[in-house]
Amino acid sequence: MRDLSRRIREVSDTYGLPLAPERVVGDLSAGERQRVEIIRCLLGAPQLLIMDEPTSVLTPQEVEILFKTLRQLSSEGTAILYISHKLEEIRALCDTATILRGGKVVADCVPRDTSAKEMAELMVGKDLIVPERKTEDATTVVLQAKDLSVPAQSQFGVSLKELRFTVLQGEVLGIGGVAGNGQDELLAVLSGEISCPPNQLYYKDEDLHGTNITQRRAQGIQGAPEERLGHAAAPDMSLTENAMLTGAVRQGLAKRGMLNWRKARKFAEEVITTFDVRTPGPGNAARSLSGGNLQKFVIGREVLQKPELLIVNQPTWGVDAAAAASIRQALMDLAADGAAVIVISQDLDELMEISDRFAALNEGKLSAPRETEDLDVEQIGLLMGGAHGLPESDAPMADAEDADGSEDGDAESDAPEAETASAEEPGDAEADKPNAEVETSETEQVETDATDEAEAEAEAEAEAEAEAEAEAEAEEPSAGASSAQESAPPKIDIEEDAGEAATEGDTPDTAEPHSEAPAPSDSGEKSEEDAAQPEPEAAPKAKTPPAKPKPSKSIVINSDEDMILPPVTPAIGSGGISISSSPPPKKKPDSEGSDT
Amino acid sequence: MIRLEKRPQVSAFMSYATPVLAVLATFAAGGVLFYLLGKDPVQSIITIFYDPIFGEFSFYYRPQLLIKGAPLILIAIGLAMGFKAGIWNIGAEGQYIVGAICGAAAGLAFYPMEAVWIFPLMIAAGAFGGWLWAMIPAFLKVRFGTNEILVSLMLVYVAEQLLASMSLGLLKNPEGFGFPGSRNLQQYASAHNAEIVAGTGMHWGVVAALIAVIFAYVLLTRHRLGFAIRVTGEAPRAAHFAGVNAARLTFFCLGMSGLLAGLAGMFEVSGPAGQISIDFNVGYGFTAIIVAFLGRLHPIGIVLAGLLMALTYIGGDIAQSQLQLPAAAIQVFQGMLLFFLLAFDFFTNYRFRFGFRRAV
Repeated sequence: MRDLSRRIREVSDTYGLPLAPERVVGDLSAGERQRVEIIRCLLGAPQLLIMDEPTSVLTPQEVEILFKTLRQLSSEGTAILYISHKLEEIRALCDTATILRGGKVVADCVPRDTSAKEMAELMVGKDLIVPERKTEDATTVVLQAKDLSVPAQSQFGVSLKELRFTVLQGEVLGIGGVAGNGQDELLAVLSGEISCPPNQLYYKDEDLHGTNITQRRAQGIQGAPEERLGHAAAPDMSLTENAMLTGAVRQGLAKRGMLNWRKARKFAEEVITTFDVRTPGPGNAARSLSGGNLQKFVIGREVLQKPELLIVNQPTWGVDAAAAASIRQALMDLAADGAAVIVISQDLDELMEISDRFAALNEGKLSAPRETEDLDVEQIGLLMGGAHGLPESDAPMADAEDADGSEDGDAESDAPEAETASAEEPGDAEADKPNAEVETSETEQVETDATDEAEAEAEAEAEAEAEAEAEAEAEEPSAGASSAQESAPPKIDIEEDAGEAATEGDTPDTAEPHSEAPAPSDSGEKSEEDAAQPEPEAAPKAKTPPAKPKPSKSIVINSDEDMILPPVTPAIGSGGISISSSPPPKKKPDSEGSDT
Repeated sequence: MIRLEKRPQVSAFMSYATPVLAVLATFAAGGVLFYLLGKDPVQSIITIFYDPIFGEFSFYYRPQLLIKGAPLILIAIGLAMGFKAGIWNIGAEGQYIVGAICGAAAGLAFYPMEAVWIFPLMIAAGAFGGWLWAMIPAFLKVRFGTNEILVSLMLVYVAEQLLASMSLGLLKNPEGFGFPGSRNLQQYASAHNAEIVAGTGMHWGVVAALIAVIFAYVLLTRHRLGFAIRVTGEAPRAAHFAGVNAARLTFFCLGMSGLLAGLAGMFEVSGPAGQISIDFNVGYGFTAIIVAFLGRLHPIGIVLAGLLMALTYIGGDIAQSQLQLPAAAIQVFQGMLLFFLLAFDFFTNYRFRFGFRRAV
């Protein structure tokens, strides 16, 4: 154990990922937990690192730290397979990208030379309509929170602390923040699912204390929670019944307690047609719809009821780009028609795009709302809590670095590191190369140019309209973004061109040697090509949904959340790539494997 | 390779076919059971399922179908409402007993006065007794988060002790020569739940059961409360989001099933049973659980299931006397019905897939 924690310290020092081995995971922030996963992977000295949507729980500052680590790793010869629907991240980080749609490769591109819009259109397969904002000056206060404080509802809940904000008629208030900082609670309090204390929450100057969710619906307050199945909609019930779920009050679907199913069905059909929900009909179960279609139904159900205040949480989470665009458009249209809209989201680009004012939730506290136009992503990131868990002294550094990267295009901070790292790597790579047949056939190893990245980064924040969760899912259903929050099965060997699955633990336990050597350096079993490469800053090889991961010995990281998923044992496509795991230190539930 | 796969939608066909398949499977397994007991399986099943309705003495057994079916249906309707909402009242037997005690006590309190209002009063008292007994687990669940399955089940045994105490003490027939048991309500005209049409088995409990069925049907399909019940059972968080008050719903569902069970007990004690006695309860409250599931928690289904279970009771009695089948064999037979039902029920949500799945 002591040995292990020493190695953890070494690795975390080497990569600038502060982490104290003795801390309990439960106390860590999401960003820090992700660091745990990354370091766990690094301990295994990977040659291929697979990451699936790693940034969804990170602040922009933490993303920058992560990217820095990834660049360092790639410069040391680790191939990185980066799966994401955040196109600007891919543009900032990756050398080549493969775009998947519906489980098929639709394009390869060099992300730096391709605009995010182009990539989004490739993903979606049609022209993307970017929502347009119609701004009008609003003055009427619809909702006002005066030091709204609500204690945590459960052991792992977050308590809301002295929230202070107003929402005006016709505006979209964006509330950002890293997952688990009180978003669910905020939605529940505003929609009336949990009650609020007296004299803290006013709707059109009336105290909302003592009103339940049904009464608030009657008053024109509607909500759409994050979790579609099971919260916003009952999975096994038909869409008609789900329309009844929240529509009964305002749509007059119930009279003296008796339900009017014909009317409910008509309402459900209206939602389906207006919002282009793809389903055979309102009689189908909510469960049978795809995520995007169900989300369109859920949002449409609320929007069509003409709420005066609509609160949505993660409206486009796991939704394909086209559906996301139409949902955003609907929200903005609703605001343009005079409703107040609160959008709680972890997608900053989304908030930048649609919200008039922005506030960030961090550990149950809300920053003062500010005009979105005046903010840039750096400031938002700081509002969101900066880089969680970094010592104060480090934080500024992270910011500075971030600023370098994204604003000035001056990447000094990155460059030296890349050099040092790569400097040690050739020797190491030669030194222990247990896997003779390691090969990276990826020839497009583009030199990592920090400045390039910097530019891309800058743009990253700027636009980013589209997302394609679908893509991620399609790509790797098993570890799929949706299901799979797993962390690192310690070691996965990917053997190229070996038709059969699973070469078990063919690597001599690389973990051992690391006790003396910093993990990253001697891990770098570079392919011959790699090693031969003249440039000291060898390239990160990162791709979006990759058609064919080539190198051997990989690690899957997925940091959406912190559960352990079994390593994937599937043959991806017909490429003859097989992934297997050597006996993992962490026990993985077999059951999971069997139902993927 | 065979594996199970969740269906994207609940199979409508399977949800109708399940009870039928369960009955057929029970016939088959029951036949094997009877064969192993040394009886002719076909003859046994004919005796149980055919003779009571179409046999030589069916004129005697047919009214029994209603008499035995009514309490089962009455109780099962109440249970089904709770089960649909995910509130598991397993203690209907206890509520049935307490309802009977309260109903009988209300009547006997006025003995030997004759008045038309006595019987309605007994109905109200019976309903109240059952309701009250069910309020105990409801309150404990809402207030302290106890498990209503355990509490309601254990209250059955409390109720049984109460029943014994009543038949030996407070309600004991003063003219009963020291035998345990109350006065016979059948001999007390104002309190007697007599057949409405002689010889049909049609008593007020049957009427109440029919009303309950219609009430439950309308409630579950057309009323907001029924919708709340269904949503709560399907997705509790979605129900909360829809504005359903879970605590109130718990009180309603447990109260309703207790009330109906109490009514069933009251109609039973004032009619077919006649008196409070130590062995008054014969397990209707537990059998009703099978009835509720066999009827797919649907009011109409419960009517059919209740009649079917009544049939097994009657047929079981005949088989006992004519074929010397042990009483336990009949109970096993009834249990198998629930077993197969639940087993087949699985396939409304899942299906078999043969062959290897595609690698993903």
